[in-house]
Amino acid sequence: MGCCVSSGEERTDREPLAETRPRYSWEKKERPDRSQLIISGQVGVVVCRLPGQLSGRQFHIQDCRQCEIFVLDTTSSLTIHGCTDCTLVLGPCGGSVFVRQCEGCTVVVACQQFRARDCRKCTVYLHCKSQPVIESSHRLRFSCFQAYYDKLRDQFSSADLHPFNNQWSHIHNFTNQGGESDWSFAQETTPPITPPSEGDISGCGLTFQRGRSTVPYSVGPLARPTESEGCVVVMTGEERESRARELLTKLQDQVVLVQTCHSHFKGNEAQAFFGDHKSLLAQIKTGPCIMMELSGENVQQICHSSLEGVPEDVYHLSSGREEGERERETLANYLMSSLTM
Amino acid sequence: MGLLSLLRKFRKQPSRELRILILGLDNAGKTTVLRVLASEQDEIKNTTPTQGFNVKSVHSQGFKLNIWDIGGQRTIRPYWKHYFEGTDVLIFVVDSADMMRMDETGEELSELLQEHKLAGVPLLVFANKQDLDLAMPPDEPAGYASPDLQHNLLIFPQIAEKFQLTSLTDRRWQIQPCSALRGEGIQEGMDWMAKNVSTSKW
Ligand SMILES: Nc1nc2c(ncn2[C@@H]2O[C@H](COP(=O)(O)OP(=O)(O)O)[C@@H](O)[C@H]2O)c(=O)[nH]1
Ligand SMILES: [Mg+2]
Repeated sequence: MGCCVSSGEERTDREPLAETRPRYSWEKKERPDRSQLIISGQVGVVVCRLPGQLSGRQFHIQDCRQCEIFVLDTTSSLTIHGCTDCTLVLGPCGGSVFVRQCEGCTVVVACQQFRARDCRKCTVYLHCKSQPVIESSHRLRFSCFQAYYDKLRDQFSSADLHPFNNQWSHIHNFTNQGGESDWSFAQETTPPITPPSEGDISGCGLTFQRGRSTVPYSVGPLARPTESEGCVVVMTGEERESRARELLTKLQDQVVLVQTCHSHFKGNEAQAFFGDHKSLLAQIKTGPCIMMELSGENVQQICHSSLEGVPEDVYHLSSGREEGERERETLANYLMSSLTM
Repeated sequence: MGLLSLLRKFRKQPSRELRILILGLDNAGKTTVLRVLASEQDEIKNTTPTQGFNVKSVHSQGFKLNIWDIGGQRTIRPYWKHYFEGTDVLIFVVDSADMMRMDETGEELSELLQEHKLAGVPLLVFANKQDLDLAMPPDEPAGYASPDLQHNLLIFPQIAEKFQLTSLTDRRWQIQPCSALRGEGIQEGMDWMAKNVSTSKW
C-alpha cells in the first residue's frame, strides 16, 4: 500500500497490485539513529565521528558556529548548510558533498562530487573524483586535499574513490563574472588545523603534516609551471601505488606534481588516446595503472635516477623533452575527456 | 535498462518520435537516472555535475527515442524553457534526502507546471535517493531526532500536496520512489510512462 502517489486514473488498478508490488531494498532497512547523522545548531564545540561509526551513511551538518567537526569515516552523501567559522574535516564521501550558505569555514574533504552554492570566504582542501562546481559564491579558496589518519586509505577504497584520482583544481563556476573574486587557489598547501589531543579521536593518527597525506599534493594543470620540462610517469603492477608514493617522496621539493590519475582501461580505450605513444601504451595495457604528470627543471633526469631499482617492466617514463611534452598533453586531454557526463 | 528495451516499450506509440525531458534541481540525480536508462551502470560513479545538458538517443525501424537531461543549477534554470517544445513526458527528479531544499524544489516544479509548452504533458516525479538514511520514506511519517529540523519535514503524500499535484486535473502524474544509484524503482517509472504517454498528445 501507498507505494506510489499518483493521479486519479491509476488508483483503480492500484489496489490489487498492492500485494505484488516490488519490495525495495530501502524498505527492509532498519531505521538508523538520526541524531547520529545530523549535527545542528552547535556553537564553539568539537564534534567527532570516528572510523566505523558512520560506515557510509548520509550525514548532515547545519547552522553551526565556531565548531571543529571531525568526521573520520566514510559517508554516502554530505550536506553542509549555513555554517559559520567552522573547521570541517570530512572523510571520503562516495556521493556528493553539497556546501551551502557557509562563511569563513575551512573544509578538508574527499568526495565523488563537490558542489558549493552561496558561500563566502571558505577554504577547501579538496579531493574530488569529478569536476568540482561552485555557484553564487565569493572569495573561495581551493587547495589539494591534505590529511592522514590510520584508516583513511582503506576508507577511500570503501567509498569507491582512489587517492590518485583527484580533479580538485578543475573548478567550474556557474556564475563566472571573470576575475578572481569568486575563487582562487589557496597559498597554503597544508590545512592550518591542529588535531584534537584529547578523547578517542586522538588515537586515530590524524595529522595534516606535509608529506604524510594520503592524497599526494598536486598543483593542478592551471598552476603548471610555464616553460619548464614535463614528463609522464606510469606505474603498473600490484605494487603500483606504493612505488608511486615512494617515487613522490623522493621527488618532493625537487619537481612539481601537476596531476595524477588511477585508471583501468578496457578494450580500445587506451588505444584511442595513447595509440601514438607506443611505449606508454604498452605499459597502460598491462592492467590498472597510476599516471602522474610531473614538471620542473631536469624533471626526466631526476625521475630517472629516483626510479633506480624499480623493475623496468612496471613503469614508463617519457624520454626526451619532446616526448614528455606530447605525453603530458595527451594525458591532460584524457583527463579532461573523462569529465564529460 | 537499455535504450533499446526502452524503445521497444514505447514503440506502440502512434508517433515516430518520443521526447523525454528530465528536469530537477542540481544534485537531484538527473544524470544518474539518465545513466540507468542508458544502461551505463558502470559509469554511474563517474558522473560529473552537468554544465549544459546530456542527451541520449536511440533509433530503430524508423522510431526514435530522445532523452534530455538538463543541468539544474539555479543560474541555468532559465534555460530549461528552451527544451520544452515537443516534450512527450516530463520526468522531475527530487533528492528525497535533502530536507532543506523541498521548498525550492516545490517552487521550481509548480513553475514548470504552469508552462504552456508543457501543458498536458504527463509528469513522472522520481522521489530519488530512497536508499539514503535521511530520505523521506514514501509511506510513513519521518521522525527526525533533531527538533529544529521538524519544520522541514515532509512525508510522502505531502510531497504531492506540497507540489500541488493533488489539484492537477490537466495531466497524468505519478510519484515513484527510486534509487537511481541502485537502479531500483526506475523500471516501474518507465512502465507507468509507457502506459500513460500515448493518451497525452496523440
Ligand atoms: N545515495 C544515492 N545517491 C545518488 C542517487 N542518485 C544520484 N546520487 C548521487 O547524487 C549526486 C548527484 O547526482 P547527479 O546525477 O550528478 O545529479 P544531477 O545534478 O541531478 O544530474 C551524485 O553523487 C550521485 O552519485 C541515489 O539514488 N542514491
Ligand atoms: Mg546532471
